[in-house]
Amino acid sequence: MIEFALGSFVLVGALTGTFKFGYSFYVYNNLQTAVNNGAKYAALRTYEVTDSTPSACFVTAVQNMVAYGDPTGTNTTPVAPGLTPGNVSVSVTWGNGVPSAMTVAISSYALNSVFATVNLSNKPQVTYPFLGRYAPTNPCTS
Amino acid sequence: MIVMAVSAVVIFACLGLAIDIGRMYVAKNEAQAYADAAALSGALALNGTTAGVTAAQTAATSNTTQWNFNTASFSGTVVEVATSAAGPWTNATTPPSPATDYGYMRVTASVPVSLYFMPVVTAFASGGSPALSTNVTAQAVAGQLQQTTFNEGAFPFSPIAFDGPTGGNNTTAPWGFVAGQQYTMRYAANGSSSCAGDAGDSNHLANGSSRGFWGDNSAKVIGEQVQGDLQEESLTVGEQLPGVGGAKTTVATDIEDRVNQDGDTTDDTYSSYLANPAHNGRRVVVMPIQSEVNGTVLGFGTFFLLDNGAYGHTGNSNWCAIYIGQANVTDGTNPGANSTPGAYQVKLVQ
Repeated sequence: MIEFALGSFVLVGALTGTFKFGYSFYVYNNLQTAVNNGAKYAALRTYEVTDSTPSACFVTAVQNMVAYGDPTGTNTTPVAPGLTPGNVSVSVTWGNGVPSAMTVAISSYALNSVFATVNLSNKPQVTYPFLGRYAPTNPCTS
Repeated sequence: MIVMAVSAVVIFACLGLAIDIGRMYVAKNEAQAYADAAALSGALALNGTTAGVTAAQTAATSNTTQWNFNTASFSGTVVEVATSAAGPWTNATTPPSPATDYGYMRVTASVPVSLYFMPVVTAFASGGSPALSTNVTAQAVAGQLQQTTFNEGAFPFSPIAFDGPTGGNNTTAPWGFVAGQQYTMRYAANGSSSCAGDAGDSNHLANGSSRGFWGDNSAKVIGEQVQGDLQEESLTVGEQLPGVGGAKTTVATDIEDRVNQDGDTTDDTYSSYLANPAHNGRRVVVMPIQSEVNGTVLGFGTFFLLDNGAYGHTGNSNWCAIYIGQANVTDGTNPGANSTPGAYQVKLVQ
């Protein structure tokens, strides 16, 4: 009984630790997949402004793609608990007058694994070379 | 106490499953994202020369995506090139020479993931010297793929091939087109004149019913397609080209705007354009090439738009573009790696 009492401290610690890390890794892995998909989407999407500040609907579509897996935002089930489009940052690398790369990251997201909370800042982050169409005179529609 | 000692091994095995294997999954995902992006960056830079392979290797390995929860840069990435997606693969550190047709890039990213709990278990199996880290590897292949269908983005003009009796019966690619020569995009009113490459072929002097445009009939829509590759009509080799007539003189302004999107608006040959560091690929466009005999799409060719000011604003001006034979369409700054004429796009293969 005494042995169990002593051992249970270790066991409970191991259990909560396992849950904390295992769950955090699971969520992080989902986020990594979502960010990768979002960055691919941004790299292939038509880019319609003439500088490195993307248009509002470009940003919204990429944010929705990461947070919900759906650029239109029709589906609003987040890929990770509490993840909102606002947690997704999009930045454009500009070169010689055309977009050259897209970087997508998660920022200010609190990953809550019950026993601990980790704040994710600029992680996960993925950069893709821009592969889409550049249409500088076309107004942003959807 | 003995029970506790034995079960501790089992507990560590469980911890190892949750934490070490969990980290390996995350690392695998991070490495895959990096490999995909790096392979695309590299494939964009392949241009058929040995120097191009070296530049592509640099482009691939300089991708900034990181691992270990976005804290560590990738190192030791293996970059290989090949002439097909199936290989054989040549390491880019010893570039092939000549590098013609080397249009595929394979990136293998490998990271050592430290193990914290698994060694306690594997120590028993390995006689006391367990592996303290394990390599997680991800691989991606990207290449310049010749396109026979353009679902979007093709330029709304269609030069005519020389596949008929009056053009010399060039029935195979590139259908009588000569790289560096000018061909007509839009014909002058009533077929009064055409560009140098078409001159002398009476079948190319189209009349008002088909002036070289295809797809939409609105000058405004065609203008948007010229400026931003906004063509949405899908076109596949073998289909009848949906030709459109009319002068649409306002499109001349759109073509000039398109030329002005480029950093180089003055060079008048493709080689001098490539030599100018300001060029960004906006003057390189892909157009369907139509048959002189029956108006079907024979293939897609890449063309170089003339310098700023070359496009006339009247119906009697013919609009020309220089045939460049091959080009990597996703990024017009690069002539592409392939010696086979056509239009290529960079895509992930696996």
